[in-house]
Amino acid sequence: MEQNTENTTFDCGYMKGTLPSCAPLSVPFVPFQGMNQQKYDSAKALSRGTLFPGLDLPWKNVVPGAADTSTPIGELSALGFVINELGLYLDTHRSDTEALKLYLDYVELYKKGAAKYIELYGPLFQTDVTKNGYTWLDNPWPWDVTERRAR
Amino acid sequence: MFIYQKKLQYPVNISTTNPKLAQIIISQYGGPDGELGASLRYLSQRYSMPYPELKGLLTDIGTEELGHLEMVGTIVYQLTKNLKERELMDSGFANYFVDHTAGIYPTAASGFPWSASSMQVKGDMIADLTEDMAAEQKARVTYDNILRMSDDPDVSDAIRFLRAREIVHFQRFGEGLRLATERLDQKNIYAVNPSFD
Repeated sequence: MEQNTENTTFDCGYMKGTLPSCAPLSVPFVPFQGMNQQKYDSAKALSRGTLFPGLDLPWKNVVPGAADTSTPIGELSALGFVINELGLYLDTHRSDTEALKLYLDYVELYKKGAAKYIELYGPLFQTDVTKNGYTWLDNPWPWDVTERRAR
Repeated sequence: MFIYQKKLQYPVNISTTNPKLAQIIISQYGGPDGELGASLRYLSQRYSMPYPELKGLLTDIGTEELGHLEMVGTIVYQLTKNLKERELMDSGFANYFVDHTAGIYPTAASGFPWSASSMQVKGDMIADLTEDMAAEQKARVTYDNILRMSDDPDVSDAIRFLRAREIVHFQRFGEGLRLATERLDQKNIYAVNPSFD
């Protein structure tokens, strides 16, 4: 009974998804997002709050300013965000092998970025003990106000 | 289990103290459509979900909402840093301040403390997912309303990000509901509750 969603080839454009031609009554239907849709790069995805232009529906059409991804933490946030977004997408599109490949590419990039970040700025996880010792406790914590662009 | 990662999902850096704005944004920490309720709703509903896509989706979105809770807490914390005592009485923040000083407490902007009665776990996947879709819409509207009142670009920036996530989550819950209902008897999808029967 899954044939009318995941396994169908879509051609509705990135702003549209697919609906069944006939459907049971009294059920809410959200169009299924098609596979191989346009995607933003990681910096733009973080700025827009979504990887997918089709889901980018801002309030009063105000386009947000670019998130600062020039800092190590900004760069890492952008990579982590794409992983989070693709993870949710894969939860409902598990047969999209291209998305899975992209997901794995970003996981690799994140691993490399995280290693660099930890070396320069300290642990992301408590187990990330560096040559400087037990720096897990060191400020700043995520809610602390930091000098802009400091990290 | 959960493991803490020492970073925010989206960077928050607010330099201007603004208790008026903090007083309304606290609603997304502990209000009826806030991030605490969102997270607990999804992470609690997932146990009775019958299909793997739904278990995954509720776990993953519920986890992301915990990250949003941390972002909202950070926004309120930074907006109330360096508060001057003489500003308090005129700021609208006095009623919060008298009970919580500049601590972060899960309450609605109205002063009503966070309540599990603002969420539900029905143990029926169609009812629960339909609630989740409504919950995403209500949170989206709360962020719309915050954007109407915010005059700080650093705050609006983070709020726009959080609002965008509600729209993506709505889409995913809708897809989850479709994957789930397609497994049911198409002549009568309400014949049984697959979480229980």
